[in-house]
Amino acid sequence: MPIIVNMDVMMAKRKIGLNELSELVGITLANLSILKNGKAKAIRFSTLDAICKALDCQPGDILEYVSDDPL
Amino acid sequence: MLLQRLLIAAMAAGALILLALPWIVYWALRYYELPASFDRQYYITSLCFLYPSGFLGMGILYNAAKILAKVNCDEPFIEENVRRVKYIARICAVLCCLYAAGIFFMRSFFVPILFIVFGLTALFLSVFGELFKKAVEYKNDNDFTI
Repeated sequence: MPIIVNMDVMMAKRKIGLNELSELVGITLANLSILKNGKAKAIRFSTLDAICKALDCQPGDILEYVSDDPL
Repeated sequence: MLLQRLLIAAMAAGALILLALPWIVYWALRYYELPASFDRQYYITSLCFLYPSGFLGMGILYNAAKILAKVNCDEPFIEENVRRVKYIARICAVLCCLYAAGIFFMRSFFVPILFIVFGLTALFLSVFGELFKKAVEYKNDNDFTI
Protein backbone atom coordinates (compact mmCIF):
# COMPACT_ATOMS: atom_id res chain seq x y z
CA MET A 1 0.00 0.00 0.00
CA PRO A 2 1.61 3.29 -1.07
CA ILE A 3 -0.24 5.29 1.61
CA ILE A 4 1.73 5.44 4.86
CA VAL A 5 0.02 6.41 8.11
CA ASN A 6 2.30 8.62 10.21
CA MET A 7 -0.05 8.99 13.11
CA ASP A 8 2.51 7.94 15.70
CA VAL A 9 4.75 10.87 14.71
CA MET A 10 1.95 13.39 15.27
CA MET A 11 0.92 11.62 18.48
CA ALA A 12 4.49 11.91 19.78
CA LYS A 13 4.62 15.59 18.79
CA ARG A 14 1.37 16.28 20.61
CA LYS A 15 2.39 13.99 23.50
CA ILE A 16 -0.87 12.11 23.29
CA GLY A 17 -1.36 8.39 23.94
CA LEU A 18 -3.55 5.88 22.10
CA ASN A 19 -6.07 5.66 24.94
CA GLU A 20 -6.52 9.40 25.13
CA LEU A 21 -6.73 9.75 21.36
CA SER A 22 -9.32 6.99 21.07
CA GLU A 23 -11.47 8.82 23.64
CA LEU A 24 -11.05 12.15 21.82
CA VAL A 25 -11.76 10.68 18.39
CA GLY A 26 -14.55 8.38 19.54
CA ILE A 27 -13.27 5.15 17.96
CA THR A 28 -12.20 1.99 19.73
CA LEU A 29 -8.61 1.37 20.78
CA ALA A 30 -8.53 -1.70 18.53
CA ASN A 31 -9.55 0.30 15.46
CA LEU A 32 -7.10 3.08 16.29
CA SER A 33 -4.31 0.48 16.57
CA ILE A 34 -5.28 -0.95 13.15
CA LEU A 35 -5.06 2.57 11.71
CA LYS A 36 -1.77 3.42 13.47
CA ASN A 37 -0.10 0.18 12.39
CA GLY A 38 -1.04 0.69 8.74
CA LYS A 39 -3.36 -2.33 8.65
CA ALA A 40 -6.45 -0.27 7.68
CA LYS A 41 -7.67 -0.51 4.10
CA ALA A 42 -9.56 2.81 4.14
CA ILE A 43 -10.33 5.75 6.37
CA ARG A 44 -13.62 7.61 6.59
CA PHE A 45 -13.56 11.40 6.20
CA SER A 46 -15.41 11.65 9.52
CA THR A 47 -12.60 9.68 11.26
CA LEU A 48 -9.93 11.75 9.53
CA ASP A 49 -11.76 14.92 10.57
CA ALA A 50 -11.91 13.76 14.20
CA ILE A 51 -8.22 12.75 14.24
CA CYS A 52 -7.11 16.03 12.68
CA LYS A 53 -9.23 17.90 15.22
CA ALA A 54 -7.81 15.91 18.14
CA LEU A 55 -4.19 16.20 16.97
CA ASP A 56 -4.60 19.74 15.62
CA CYS A 57 -3.01 18.86 12.30
CA GLN A 58 -3.70 18.51 8.57
CA PRO A 59 -4.53 15.19 6.82
CA GLY A 60 -1.15 15.44 5.09
CA ASP A 61 0.56 15.37 8.48
CA ILE A 62 -0.74 11.88 9.21
CA LEU A 63 -1.02 10.42 5.70
CA GLU A 64 1.85 10.18 3.25
CA TYR A 65 2.00 8.87 -0.30
CA VAL A 66 5.08 6.79 -1.14
CA SER A 67 5.18 5.40 -4.66
CA ASP A 68 5.92 1.67 -4.77
CA ASP A 69 6.82 1.75 -8.49
CA PRO A 70 10.52 0.93 -9.03
CA LEU A 71 12.15 3.74 -10.99
CA MET B 1 -32.20 -23.74 16.00
CA LEU B 2 -34.91 -25.75 14.21
CA LEU B 3 -32.71 -26.00 11.13
CA GLN B 4 -29.78 -27.22 13.22
CA ARG B 5 -31.98 -29.92 14.78
CA LEU B 6 -33.25 -30.90 11.33
CA LEU B 7 -29.67 -31.25 10.07
CA ILE B 8 -28.70 -33.39 13.07
CA ALA B 9 -31.81 -35.53 12.52
CA ALA B 10 -30.95 -35.85 8.81
CA MET B 11 -27.38 -36.93 9.66
CA ALA B 12 -28.64 -39.49 12.16
CA ALA B 13 -31.17 -40.79 9.63
CA GLY B 14 -28.45 -40.85 6.97
CA ALA B 15 -26.15 -42.89 9.21
CA LEU B 16 -28.96 -45.36 9.94
CA ILE B 17 -29.83 -45.65 6.24
CA LEU B 18 -26.16 -46.25 5.39
CA LEU B 19 -25.95 -48.99 8.01
CA ALA B 20 -29.16 -50.62 6.80
CA LEU B 21 -28.48 -50.01 3.10
CA PRO B 22 -27.93 -53.66 2.06
CA TRP B 23 -31.26 -54.65 3.60
CA ILE B 24 -33.09 -51.55 2.27
CA VAL B 25 -31.86 -52.16 -1.29
CA TYR B 26 -32.68 -55.87 -1.00
CA TRP B 27 -36.20 -55.04 0.21
CA ALA B 28 -36.68 -52.34 -2.47
CA LEU B 29 -35.61 -54.68 -5.28
CA ARG B 30 -37.88 -57.41 -3.96
CA TYR B 31 -40.74 -54.92 -3.58
CA TYR B 32 -40.48 -53.16 -6.94
CA GLU B 33 -39.56 -56.16 -9.00
CA LEU B 34 -40.96 -59.65 -8.97
CA PRO B 35 -39.32 -61.79 -6.28
CA ALA B 36 -38.54 -64.47 -8.82
CA SER B 37 -36.57 -62.06 -10.96
CA PHE B 38 -34.27 -60.87 -8.16
CA ASP B 39 -31.03 -59.93 -9.85
CA ARG B 40 -28.03 -60.35 -7.52
CA GLN B 41 -25.69 -58.61 -9.97
CA TYR B 42 -27.99 -55.60 -10.11
CA TYR B 43 -28.25 -55.61 -6.29
CA ILE B 44 -24.45 -55.33 -5.99
CA THR B 45 -24.29 -52.67 -8.72
CA SER B 46 -26.94 -50.64 -6.89
CA LEU B 47 -24.97 -50.87 -3.65
CA CYS B 48 -21.82 -49.76 -5.49
CA PHE B 49 -23.60 -46.57 -6.51
CA LEU B 50 -25.63 -45.97 -3.37
CA TYR B 51 -22.83 -46.38 -0.79
CA PRO B 52 -20.59 -43.63 -2.27
CA SER B 53 -23.72 -41.44 -2.70
CA GLY B 54 -24.59 -41.99 0.97
CA PHE B 55 -21.13 -41.09 2.22
CA LEU B 56 -20.98 -38.03 -0.05
CA GLY B 57 -24.46 -37.02 1.12
CA MET B 58 -23.24 -37.26 4.72
CA GLY B 59 -20.34 -35.01 3.70
CA ILE B 60 -22.83 -32.43 2.38
CA LEU B 61 -24.83 -32.57 5.62
CA TYR B 62 -21.66 -32.31 7.74
CA ASN B 63 -20.48 -29.21 5.84
CA ALA B 64 -23.97 -27.65 5.99
CA ALA B 65 -24.06 -28.26 9.76
CA LYS B 66 -20.64 -26.61 10.15
CA ILE B 67 -21.79 -23.58 8.11
CA LEU B 68 -24.94 -23.30 10.19
CA ALA B 69 -22.92 -23.51 13.43
CA LYS B 70 -20.80 -20.54 12.27
CA VAL B 71 -23.93 -18.63 11.21
CA ASN B 72 -25.41 -19.21 14.67
CA CYS B 73 -22.18 -17.86 16.22
CA ASP B 74 -22.75 -14.59 14.24
CA GLU B 75 -19.81 -15.33 11.95
CA PRO B 76 -21.49 -16.00 8.59
CA PHE B 77 -19.09 -14.18 6.27
CA ILE B 78 -15.80 -15.96 6.87
CA GLU B 79 -13.35 -17.79 4.60
CA GLU B 80 -14.18 -21.14 6.22
CA ASN B 81 -17.83 -20.90 5.12
CA VAL B 82 -16.77 -20.06 1.55
CA ARG B 83 -14.52 -23.15 1.58
CA ARG B 84 -17.35 -25.32 2.87
CA VAL B 85 -19.81 -24.07 0.19
CA LYS B 86 -17.18 -24.94 -2.41
CA TYR B 87 -16.70 -28.39 -0.84
CA ILE B 88 -20.45 -28.97 -1.13
CA ALA B 89 -20.34 -27.84 -4.78
CA ARG B 90 -17.50 -30.30 -5.47
CA ILE B 91 -19.35 -33.12 -3.71
CA CYS B 92 -22.40 -32.38 -5.89
CA ALA B 93 -20.15 -32.44 -8.98
CA VAL B 94 -18.79 -35.86 -7.93
CA LEU B 95 -22.35 -37.10 -7.36
CA CYS B 96 -23.29 -35.75 -10.81
CA CYS B 97 -20.43 -37.75 -12.36
CA LEU B 98 -21.42 -40.82 -10.33
CA TYR B 99 -25.00 -40.68 -11.59
CA ALA B 100 -23.79 -39.94 -15.14
CA ALA B 101 -22.06 -43.34 -14.94
CA GLY B 102 -25.13 -44.74 -13.20
CA ILE B 103 -27.26 -44.05 -16.28
CA PHE B 104 -25.47 -46.96 -18.00
CA PHE B 105 -25.62 -49.36 -15.05
CA MET B 106 -28.85 -48.65 -13.15
CA ARG B 107 -32.20 -49.14 -14.80
CA SER B 108 -34.16 -46.42 -13.06
CA PHE B 109 -35.94 -43.38 -14.41
CA PHE B 110 -34.59 -41.34 -11.47
CA VAL B 111 -30.90 -41.81 -12.26
CA PRO B 112 -30.81 -39.30 -15.17
CA ILE B 113 -32.94 -36.95 -13.07
CA LEU B 114 -30.43 -37.19 -10.19
CA PHE B 115 -27.62 -36.56 -12.69
CA ILE B 116 -29.32 -33.34 -13.83
CA VAL B 117 -30.26 -32.25 -10.29
CA PHE B 118 -26.73 -32.75 -8.90
CA GLY B 119 -25.20 -31.11 -11.98
CA LEU B 120 -27.40 -28.03 -11.62
CA THR B 121 -26.82 -27.93 -7.85
CA ALA B 122 -23.04 -28.11 -8.37
CA LEU B 123 -23.19 -25.24 -10.87
CA PHE B 124 -25.47 -23.15 -8.67
CA LEU B 125 -23.32 -23.73 -5.57
CA SER B 126 -20.16 -22.86 -7.50
CA VAL B 127 -21.71 -19.52 -8.46
CA PHE B 128 -23.00 -19.08 -4.90
CA GLY B 129 -19.50 -19.85 -3.56
CA GLU B 130 -17.98 -17.13 -5.76
CA LEU B 131 -20.68 -14.69 -4.63
CA PHE B 132 -20.04 -15.62 -0.99
CA LYS B 133 -16.29 -15.17 -1.52
CA LYS B 134 -16.87 -11.62 -2.80
CA ALA B 135 -19.15 -10.90 0.17
CA VAL B 136 -16.37 -12.02 2.54
CA GLU B 137 -13.86 -9.80 0.72
CA TYR B 138 -16.20 -6.80 0.93
CA LYS B 139 -16.85 -7.48 4.60
CA ASN B 140 -13.12 -7.70 5.34
CA ASP B 141 -12.56 -4.42 3.49
CA ASN B 142 -15.38 -2.82 5.42
CA ASP B 143 -14.02 -4.16 8.72
CA PHE B 144 -10.68 -2.46 7.96
CA THR B 145 -12.32 0.85 7.07
CA ILE B 146 -11.80 2.97 10.15
